[in-house]
Amino acid sequence: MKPIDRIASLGASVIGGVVSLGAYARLCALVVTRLPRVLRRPSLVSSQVHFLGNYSLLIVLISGLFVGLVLGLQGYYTLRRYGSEEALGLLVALSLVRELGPVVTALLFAGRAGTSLTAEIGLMKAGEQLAALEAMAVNPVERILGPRFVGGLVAMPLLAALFSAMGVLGGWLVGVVLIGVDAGAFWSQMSEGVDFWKDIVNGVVKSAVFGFAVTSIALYMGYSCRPTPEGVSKATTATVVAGSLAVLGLDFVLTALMFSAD
Amino acid sequence: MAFEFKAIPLPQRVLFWSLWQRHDRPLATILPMSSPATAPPARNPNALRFDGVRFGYGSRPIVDRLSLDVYRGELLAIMGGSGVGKTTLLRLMSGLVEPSHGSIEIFGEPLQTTDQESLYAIRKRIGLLFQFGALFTDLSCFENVAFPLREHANLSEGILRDLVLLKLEAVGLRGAANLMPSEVSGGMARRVALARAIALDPELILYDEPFAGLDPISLGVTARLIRRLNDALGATSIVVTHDVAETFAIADRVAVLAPSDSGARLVALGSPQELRQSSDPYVKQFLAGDESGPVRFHMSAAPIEDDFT
Amino acid sequence: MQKTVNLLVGTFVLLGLAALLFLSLRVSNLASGSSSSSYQLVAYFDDIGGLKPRAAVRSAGVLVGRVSSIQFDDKRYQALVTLEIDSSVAFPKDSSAQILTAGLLGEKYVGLLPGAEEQALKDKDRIQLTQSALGLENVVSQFLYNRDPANTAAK
Repeated sequence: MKPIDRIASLGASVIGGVVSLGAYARLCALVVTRLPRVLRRPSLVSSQVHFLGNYSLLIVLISGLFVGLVLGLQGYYTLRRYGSEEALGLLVALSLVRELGPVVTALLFAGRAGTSLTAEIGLMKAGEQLAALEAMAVNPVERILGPRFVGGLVAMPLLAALFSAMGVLGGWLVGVVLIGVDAGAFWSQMSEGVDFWKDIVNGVVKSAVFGFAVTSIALYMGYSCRPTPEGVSKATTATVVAGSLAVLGLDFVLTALMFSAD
Repeated sequence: MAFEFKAIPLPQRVLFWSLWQRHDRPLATILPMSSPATAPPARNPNALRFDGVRFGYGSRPIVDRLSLDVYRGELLAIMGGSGVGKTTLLRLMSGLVEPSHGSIEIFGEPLQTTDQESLYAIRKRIGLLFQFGALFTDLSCFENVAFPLREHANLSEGILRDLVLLKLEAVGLRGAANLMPSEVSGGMARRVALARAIALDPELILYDEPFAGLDPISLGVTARLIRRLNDALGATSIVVTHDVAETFAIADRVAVLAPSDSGARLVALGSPQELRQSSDPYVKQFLAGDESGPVRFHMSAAPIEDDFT
Repeated sequence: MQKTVNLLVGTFVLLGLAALLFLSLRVSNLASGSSSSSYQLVAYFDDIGGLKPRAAVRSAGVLVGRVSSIQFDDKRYQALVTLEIDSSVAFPKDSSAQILTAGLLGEKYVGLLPGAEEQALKDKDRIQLTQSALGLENVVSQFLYNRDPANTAAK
């Protein structure tokens, strides 16, 4: 391709990206404005919380445990250099509650729940089920997208809290039980250093924002994909990529906003 | 429904349900016993009206200035070659897409209302059968047919169950009520979708290629079913198809669409007999299945000498 | 079928809330914090060093309260530090407050040294004797130039 063609195609993909962003924003607005109607059918929302939350429980708990174990190990080796092993509890808890809990859970959520959301909606679109809903005077945004959105929004903070809790237990397992750091110092330094409002509540807010981002991206990719097997496959990949990048980008913005004044 | 519904015998229950469904229309139009002296107020004789409708995707025109009236109670077949735009017509009729020019009226009301409420109110009176059924794969056949009833009618479980089983019985698939869509054949899935389309007793039923890919027995069964439902429900049916033999046996009128560079055009409209005597070359080629005629066998290409020297 | 789903969802939500509760009570300082009643004491310092709000206030190494706010008093040109002390501990009127460092590179905290008077400090009282933070530069310059530490007692 000639250089000028390359630049032209680059410009075209940028414009295409901006157009997609606009379509995504419109879909988000549509779902959010219909939320009151969606919340009047709690059984639909409850099924989605089950589908997105309960089915992700196992991977979140196990990952949390392993991350906590590794944090405990790595943290101990580094802190031992400065004679501050007793701060291990503080290190593990702060890392998890502030950053790793929300972020890693969101990445796992994007991979597990996000892709299944995208695939399900993409296949519904391919099988004309969404058009059938419209033809039956049922709004697919209210009936299909809305409950899934609320389900993701509810499930994410809970999953992040479970991840962080399992991680702290993992750190305790490695630090206190296996290595022998003083249990009293472990827990007391942790509870003195972790602030409820600044650390835990901020962590919950972060996970809620990530839940919004990942769920809405997954729904958008499924809703706007081409109704063919290749289209659905590309959409699921796009969910993981865009969802992960959005989570990491938002993480930076939120961290800067929340933890700056220290 | 506060009283005990189950005490009423089955046929009367069905009648009661139909009457309840049509409570917003004059009683005289439902019961066929009205005398001419007490004739109902004049209602729009057209179930559907297309007026100069044009539609296209970007620069590609699909439908070119189509004007068509569909009368209440008739079974109209829309025929034409593959890809001429018949499915697009159905989407225009149900409001799933909007025309770029012209207007569409259903039951006398314009379809291009920006208000979702009125659009949905019209859609509840239309039943649309998709080409491959479009059943909800995560619900059983029973739940699929029950879906519109659950969404739009506030019924007790007992009445709902009776109605759903009656609809399935009408299409001959009451035995498949507890099966999942993946467990029945394609033709059966389409019949379940038909039961779902008539769940709310629609006044207008749209069929998208209902005969595509069916064996001869299913073909005959489906054709007779469409005709029977049309008459029993007092509805209007529009069947989009390219199956000549079955359709001519059941249709009141047939419309033929021919492709052209500016989109599909209506080239013939009349009863099956009138169409068999038509002089339009496209209609003659279509009905006879001829190779020669306005639709050529060879796609346009360079002269043959260029490719083989 | 719907009942099973609801049961599982309820269990999931309960588990999540339990994890949040665990994090709040065991991991964070919520339980040990503002639950008990407290009274306020104020103190003026020349230099607070790196002391921050919510830093610990300790006496004999035991946590007795927290720094609630730090402000600049532009009449005395000193830092006005407000301390929230647990109501169950009382300090004599001539107690002194020092800004100390926890560990070698640790955070700054306020240490309270009890005095000998009979009367105790009450709510909104001022701690008269204070000692400012010992900055690293001061320690180094002391060592280099062998001068007396810049120890000023505030009036």
